[in-house]
Amino acid sequence: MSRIAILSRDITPADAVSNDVLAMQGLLSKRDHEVRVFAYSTSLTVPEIFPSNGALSYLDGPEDVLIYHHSIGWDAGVEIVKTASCRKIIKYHNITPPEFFEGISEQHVGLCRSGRLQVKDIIECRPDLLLAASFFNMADLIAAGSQNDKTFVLPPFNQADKLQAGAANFDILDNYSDGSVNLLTVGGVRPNKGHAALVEAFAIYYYQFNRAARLFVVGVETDALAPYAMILRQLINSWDIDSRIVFTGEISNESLKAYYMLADALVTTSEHEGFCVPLAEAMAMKVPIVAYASTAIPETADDAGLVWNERDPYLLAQSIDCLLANEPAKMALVARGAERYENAFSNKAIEKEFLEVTARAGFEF
Amino acid sequence: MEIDIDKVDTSVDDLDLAQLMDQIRQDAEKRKRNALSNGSSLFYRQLITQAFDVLLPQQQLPRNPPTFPQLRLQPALEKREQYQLNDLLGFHDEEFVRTAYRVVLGREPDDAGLAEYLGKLRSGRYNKIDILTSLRFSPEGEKANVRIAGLNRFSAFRKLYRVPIVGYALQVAVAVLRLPVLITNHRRLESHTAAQLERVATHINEAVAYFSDAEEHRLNEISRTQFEVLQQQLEELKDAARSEIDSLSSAHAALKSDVLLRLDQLNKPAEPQVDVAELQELRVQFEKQFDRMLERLNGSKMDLAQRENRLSMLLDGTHRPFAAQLHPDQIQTIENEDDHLLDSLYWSLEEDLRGTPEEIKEEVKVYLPVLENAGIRDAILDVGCGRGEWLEVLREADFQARGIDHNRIQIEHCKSLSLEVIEAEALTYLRGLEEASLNAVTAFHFAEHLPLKSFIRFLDESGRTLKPGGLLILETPNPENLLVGSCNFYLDPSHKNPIPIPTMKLLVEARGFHCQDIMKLHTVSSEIEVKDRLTSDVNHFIYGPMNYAVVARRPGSDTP
Repeated sequence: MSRIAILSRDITPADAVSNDVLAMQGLLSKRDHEVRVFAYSTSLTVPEIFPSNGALSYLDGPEDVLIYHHSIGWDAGVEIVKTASCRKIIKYHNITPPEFFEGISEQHVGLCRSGRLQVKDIIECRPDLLLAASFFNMADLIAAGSQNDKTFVLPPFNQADKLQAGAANFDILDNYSDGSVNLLTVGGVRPNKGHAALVEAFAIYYYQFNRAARLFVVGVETDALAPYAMILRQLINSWDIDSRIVFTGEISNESLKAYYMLADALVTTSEHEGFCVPLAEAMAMKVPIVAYASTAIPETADDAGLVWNERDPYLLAQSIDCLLANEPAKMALVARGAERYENAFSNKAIEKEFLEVTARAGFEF
Repeated sequence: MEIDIDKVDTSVDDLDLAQLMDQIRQDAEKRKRNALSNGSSLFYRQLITQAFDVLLPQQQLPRNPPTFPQLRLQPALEKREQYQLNDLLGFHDEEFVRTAYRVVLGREPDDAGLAEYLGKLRSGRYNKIDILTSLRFSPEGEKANVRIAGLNRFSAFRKLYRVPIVGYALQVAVAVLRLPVLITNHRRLESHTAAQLERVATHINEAVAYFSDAEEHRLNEISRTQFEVLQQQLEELKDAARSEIDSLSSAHAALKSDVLLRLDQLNKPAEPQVDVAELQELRVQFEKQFDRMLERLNGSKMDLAQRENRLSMLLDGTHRPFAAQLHPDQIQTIENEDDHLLDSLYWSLEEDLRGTPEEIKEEVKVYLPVLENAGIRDAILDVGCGRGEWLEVLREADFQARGIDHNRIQIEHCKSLSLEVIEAEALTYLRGLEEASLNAVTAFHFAEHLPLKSFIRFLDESGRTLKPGGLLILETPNPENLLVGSCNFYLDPSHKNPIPIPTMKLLVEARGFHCQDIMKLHTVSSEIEVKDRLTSDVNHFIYGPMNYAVVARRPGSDTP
């Protein structure tokens, strides 16, 4: 029986790439394969994550399979892909362009720059199959020399079903169920997320449409990106809306569910997304979507949200107002989202797609 | 707020997204113009945001740090024809070795050479003259042939030190004789060190002052750029405001004439907006259907009343005259029989109203995937199993299930189909079961027969007897469909109250279940073609789902 190694630089909780890795492991184990996850760093204890330097010795036959998730610069990881003499699958999650981090974190600039350069190296290893989280990502792979007949789109496995089935944090629900319009954005406090535009749109909504409005910024804040968070807070302060914006930091699934339940809309102004998992979560949680069309966002949201090509904060504010005033439109959008989630982004749908695509490339999972 | 899943009707989606977004775009433009003409302070805040965009890239640290002269404590020796020994002896430690290399060999020291001489110097085995001699009279030194006045003399003297015994005596004698010179040298070195320290301190102070000036200058630069951007944008804004005021004035004039025109038109009679004929047609259809329903309802009621009357009389006639002579146990038996009085009535009602067993079997198949997905194959209890259609479906699909019902006729019927059934009252039966002994409890068209308190007890007992992760599936009429809520529900006289979906969800969740799904079932097929909001609403409220099921999970684990 062949062995499968899934390799990613970091495995952390509340992280889209890690969720994809662990769900893949779950699926393959369920189908009776011997699967191990290898990573350079991890903060998880369950399931067992093996140190990445053991990956090569674990893979010992030409029929074994290495699945490498590329989401950041990692020389040692690429070296493993180069050296391994087994069959190889690459999952490409896209990498934030380094320019976003300039002047904020030199470490991120370096990791992102090398990560983008490594795409070419990885393709030169001639993997058997390349999976991109979106067509937007796939374009990167094709541009770097990947062959059309080996490159496919596969959305990332996600935790939206866990959100649907899990419990919600009642304290949060109680705390914020005060009749305010609650808006939500989900994603790490990172410079590519375009928070300045979001704050501006929220401020316009707050001052021009509705003083009973609140914005939840759900996402991890790291020390390395502290200068960005600091500037962001200065900006919020200059709009004088500090008391209306809640930064939650890293939170549990129970809390995340509560925020989705509270939200009247999910708003995102991110400037770079390889897929944008929060959109899929919002669809699953029946929350309408308002967004600027950037990178993979229009592709993921499709016709299930108000997605704007023009970056005009008044459009976002007016969209929020419209969703609150026009119940049938909101219901129709939410229904489309729910359907899109079921058909395209539920783990069940992705599982089916994964098995089909890998089978086409000759893998028998 | 969370969207109520029950309100989401995926079957009707007549949303034209492009049209909606156009409308939003127009409204946003209007709002923007108003904000501009109101002179809202918002715009000044927006400027700050734009300035933020300008500011952000400049928050970076300077790529090339400002230059500041390096501190050199031992000035470099200029190149000359001939050197005095004292020129070289003025250097110390590493700088001495480097200078010696530069002067004697005309090059920078290699790493090994530097380390060796520095080691010897620092250990005291060599003094500076020894090093100069060693370098000067090495093959490379001979080749360079640099003249250092006084070196020969001193080095010859130093060589004498290496002669056994005599050398040592000579060293001691010289040391004693040179003692005053050494003391003077020591003092000189002391004041030299103090002076050097002073220079270091001054240098640091100057550097600190220099860098704070540079930083201040850099910040000034940023605010100047920011200011320029702000000023430029303010100008642009002023222009925009001026043209806006112009366009508003013309818009105002246009509006005025438009209002006058409309005032004129107001005197004319308004055209009817709604297609009256269509509405009339709908109403006639509606009334016909309603009349038919009423007719059937009346028929059923009459029949029911007659049967009930007959049975009551029968019962009264049976046990009243004898009651006094009967044993209490016998009375109890008769009372129990009393409970079963309506069994046959209900049997015939179900035959008439619920549908044929074949139809019901088709309908309940919808629940098989629910159980399958939850990984449930056995320990299933069907409460109020009726004619056993669901139990049959389960048996055919290889599930292990049993049913209970209070109706003897139905139980007899189930037994004739070899189904595992027990004649029992639901609550009593559930109370007799062990905790966490069931994987699923199903009850179709059961809840609406119970008074509220009994239903709550039923939920609690189900919760107790289900394993963590076990499923409770309840199907009941959907009063959201107007015909069901107003009429069809009451076709069954044993029904208590219709349970609207939100109430059901609330009750189930209030008793600790996780509401996993609301399944809307049995939509009436003959719906009207959707033309507008009215027909869409009629479709929803008249032809919408007649029943619904709540699928609830006992929290605790994903699979039982």
